Amino acid sequence: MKKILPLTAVVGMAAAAVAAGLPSDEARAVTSRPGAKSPRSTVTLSVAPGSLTASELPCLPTRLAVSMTNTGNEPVFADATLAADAPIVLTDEVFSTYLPATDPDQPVTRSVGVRVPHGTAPGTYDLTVTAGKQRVVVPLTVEAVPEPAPGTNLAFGRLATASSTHGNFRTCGAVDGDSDYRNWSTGSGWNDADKGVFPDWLAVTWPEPVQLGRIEVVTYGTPSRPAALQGVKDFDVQVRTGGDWLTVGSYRANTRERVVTTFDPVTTDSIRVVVHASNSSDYSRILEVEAFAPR
Amino acid sequence: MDDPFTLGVASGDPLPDGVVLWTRLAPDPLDPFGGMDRRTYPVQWEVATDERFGRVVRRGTTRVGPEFGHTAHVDVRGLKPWREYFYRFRCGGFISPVGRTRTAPSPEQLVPRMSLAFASCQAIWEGWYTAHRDLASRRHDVVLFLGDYIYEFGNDRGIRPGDGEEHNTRQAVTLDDYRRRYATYKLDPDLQAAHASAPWIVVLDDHEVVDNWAGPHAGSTPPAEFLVRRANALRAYWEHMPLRAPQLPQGPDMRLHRRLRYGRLAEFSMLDTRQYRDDQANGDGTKAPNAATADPARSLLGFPQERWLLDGLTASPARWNVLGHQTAITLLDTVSGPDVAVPMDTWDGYSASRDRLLGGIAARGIRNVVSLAGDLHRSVVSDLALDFHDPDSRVVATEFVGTSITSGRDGQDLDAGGQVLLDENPHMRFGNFKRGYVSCEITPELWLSDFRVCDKVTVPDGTVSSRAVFAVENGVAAVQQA
Repeated sequence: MKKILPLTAVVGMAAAAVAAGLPSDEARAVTSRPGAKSPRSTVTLSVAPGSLTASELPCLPTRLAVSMTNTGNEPVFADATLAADAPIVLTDEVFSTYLPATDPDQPVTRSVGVRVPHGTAPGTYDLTVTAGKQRVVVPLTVEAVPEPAPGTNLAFGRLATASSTHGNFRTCGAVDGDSDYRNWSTGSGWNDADKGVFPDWLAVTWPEPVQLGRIEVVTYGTPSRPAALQGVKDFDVQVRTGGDWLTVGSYRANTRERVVTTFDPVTTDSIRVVVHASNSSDYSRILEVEAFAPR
Repeated sequence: MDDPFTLGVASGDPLPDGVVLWTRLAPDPLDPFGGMDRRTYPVQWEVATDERFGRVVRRGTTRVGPEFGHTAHVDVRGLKPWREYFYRFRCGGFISPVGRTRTAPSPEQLVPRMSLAFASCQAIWEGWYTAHRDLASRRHDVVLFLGDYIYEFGNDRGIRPGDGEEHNTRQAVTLDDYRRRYATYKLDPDLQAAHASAPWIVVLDDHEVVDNWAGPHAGSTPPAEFLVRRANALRAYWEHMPLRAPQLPQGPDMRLHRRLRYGRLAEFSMLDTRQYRDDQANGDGTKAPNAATADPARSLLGFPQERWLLDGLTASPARWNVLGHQTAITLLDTVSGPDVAVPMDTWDGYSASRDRLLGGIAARGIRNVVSLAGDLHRSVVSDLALDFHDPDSRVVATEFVGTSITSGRDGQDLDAGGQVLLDENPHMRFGNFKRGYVSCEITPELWLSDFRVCDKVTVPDGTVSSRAVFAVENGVAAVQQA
């Protein structure tokens, strides 16, 4: 440890913090102009929707739109803070942004994800958003995950992870129950982030083991640009048993949109698609991964 | 409170009598508020002439608060010109790492020699900051960082990915997003060492905000919506860089172009080629030169900054007139054969702006203009001539474009695209596609640029070596290989 020198007084010429003069004790909303009057009352907070329902399926989108609007005459920076009753987890605990003073008023919105951890008891939990003196409480009703009916896609809404995900896509898009190519651009599929770099992988994981006998992989293709031009080309379908990955389907030079792999029943807590090449040589594109119990 | 100095220290914008000292209190740096509560804290600072702080020459206390993410920007004055100093901060019983800095020479001084490094483009997921480690070890007199300090893209991928948490996968848009992105980058020990080794003079490029933004335009985003993002991005940039109060953004606007004098040896005109430019011509990308790129009504710098630049160069008493900016001035024909295709995002996309600059340099008899830029992720050395298509055209300035620190991963000595550039652009003297930076030695009679390249950035223990050295003699703009 270095000797700590007493640093009490400015020696010689004064040095000033460049931020001096700003209202540094104002914690919640600060003007962008030094010396301006506190604009606290001019920021309006709104949160939508007013209530939410969710289950612990990790990939089902449950989101809040938090908006702040400056209704005053001076632009401001403002913070909203977010909190949730345990054990609910929010993707963001803070939303800080510039709020211009425009006419008409210009709301600035942040979409915040709500995650219900495995084991959360059904019931109502409060999500609280605060900005300045304003406070909005959104009740979240957590419902139990229903027992899957026979023939149900067991991957729906489950935890999806990937080697990487392109910023315009969502990993969860691969388990959102939507395998329609027309919705690709809305984030209903997974597209990796590393152009031209392989292998890529996309995995689905369950909190408790499930028994599976069939996995269907839907890659991206349209009538004008089918999977033969932009879908996954060389890939393996694997299930995890006893900590090891077992390959249950291996495909080379694939040109089909939907590839069905059936196998002897296996108890597993995770499945994955490992992509070695795509027909466009750039990205791995998977619209949906579905998993089913043995017939 | 845990150790708040997790993001290191920095200094910047040297003057003959002062320098800006920077740090941030962030005991939990990836927390949106850095692990700080919303109170304001006193931070003590001190400047000494020795590394052990036996001879402290200035000290004081600054107050840091939540409105600027608990960052400190201390504008220390009263120092002596062209002196090496050491600085550190103290808060809550913790002492920061020690930074080394150096003031500029006095206005009348012609120092016999100075060292300078310039660098750009450090996508963190693309590799290790080996180049910064090398840069730090050389203890330059000053470092120019020419943009793409962060990337707005998610960083949950690549060679050293962050986790898959949503803030790592999404693009930065809000102030808390950008603050967290700076914290992610600034946690790197090699980057911290590079900041601690020398004062930095910084300008930004596109990715500190969003890919290829131009004035109020960014892709298809409505300008009113983009300007909110731009305000958030510029605020976080100012907070995390060693910049003075005049550079503090007012909403979406920031005065970043500025001049820094190193006595009579060098003057740095730091340019902003993003805020005032016209939108990229013909939908951006790489296109043939066309009516829009040659339109004299369009500008890369904006007309006020163009005038400010030429007037400043004209008045400069310095031997070397350095432009520190983002992207290449030189013509970059990217296709083989008689066809010409040039980037719409570089000065090629604003050739009337380029003609006004190079023509103005020639008409006003401005000597020893050296353009330093980045953006291309490749090293490029060029003679800047009045007419790039005429091999006999007069060379009026010299350009060194530095490669990226990491962006583009390892690269190679000369890729196919680089060979085409060399073949198609006879004014181009050198091209290299490895990662690294440029280390320069400047004397009144000679400018030397040493292209330091990494064998690999995709492994943590890459090595750095000198790939080529280029020289510019006083009064001779045409570059020579040393």
